[in-house]
Amino acid sequence: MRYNSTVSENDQNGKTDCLELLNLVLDSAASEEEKESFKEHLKQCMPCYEKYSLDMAIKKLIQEKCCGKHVPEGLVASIRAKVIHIAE
Amino acid sequence: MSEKQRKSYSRKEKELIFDTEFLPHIDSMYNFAYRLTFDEDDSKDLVQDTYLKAYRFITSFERGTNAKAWLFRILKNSFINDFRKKSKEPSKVDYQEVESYYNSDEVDKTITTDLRVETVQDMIGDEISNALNALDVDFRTVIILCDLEGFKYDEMAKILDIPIGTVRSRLHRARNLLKEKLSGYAKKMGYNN
Repeated sequence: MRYNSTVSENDQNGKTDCLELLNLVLDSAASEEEKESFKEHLKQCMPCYEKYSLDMAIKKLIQEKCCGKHVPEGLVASIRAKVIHIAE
Repeated sequence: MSEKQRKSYSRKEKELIFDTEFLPHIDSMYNFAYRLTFDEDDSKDLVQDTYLKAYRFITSFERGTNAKAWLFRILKNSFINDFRKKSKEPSKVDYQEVESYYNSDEVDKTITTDLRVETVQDMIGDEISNALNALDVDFRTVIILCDLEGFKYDEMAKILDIPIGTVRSRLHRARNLLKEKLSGYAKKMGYNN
């Protein structure tokens, strides 16, 4: 599948609207109604479907690969000890 | 928060808030710090500074409100005000030049890639992490806050001290830039499309 930034070649307003909706869904900021509307739109708009699929694949990959850092052993204890010192 | 709005907590209450509302976010905080500094020792220092500041200013925190966003805001400010100045990392590019380019409409028009979903799904190594790390810190930050930490637009606006509209456009640009980086890796990996 190819990513193409042009969502709709003929309808500039439509392009802006569906891109806006796509971004809201992607950013987990869309309402249930907007999500439903976007889902319907995807059935008839291949460029949006392709862009959404690619963006979601990247988002999923980020979530899988970029959060492996865990706090080093001893840091929590060290912070707590310093906090108790401040409190005293 | 103004002086009038400051909370009055006993020492026991402060410790309870610290343990039950602040410390549970320490893994996310450390991961964020690491993605900003790229160094484990610096990340430890940054997280520790953040938690000590959080405790010192605990009267500005209202129990039951969004502790995670509050802590992320402190960490981000500590990074900018204290850490970034001390950082030995050289400036790789002229920042003004980068900002004016990224804030122009050109960035949306010119960034197109022929990246495929299947190619992204085949990236099982460090490509995504490297691509994210290669982004300018402001773009990297919004991706981390939104995609990894699940913050909403209004929360990100508060953490970053920028309007919601700027959060949205920065996220959009960051996603485009990330795709551009990944497309570059895909070509190196031998995928032609």
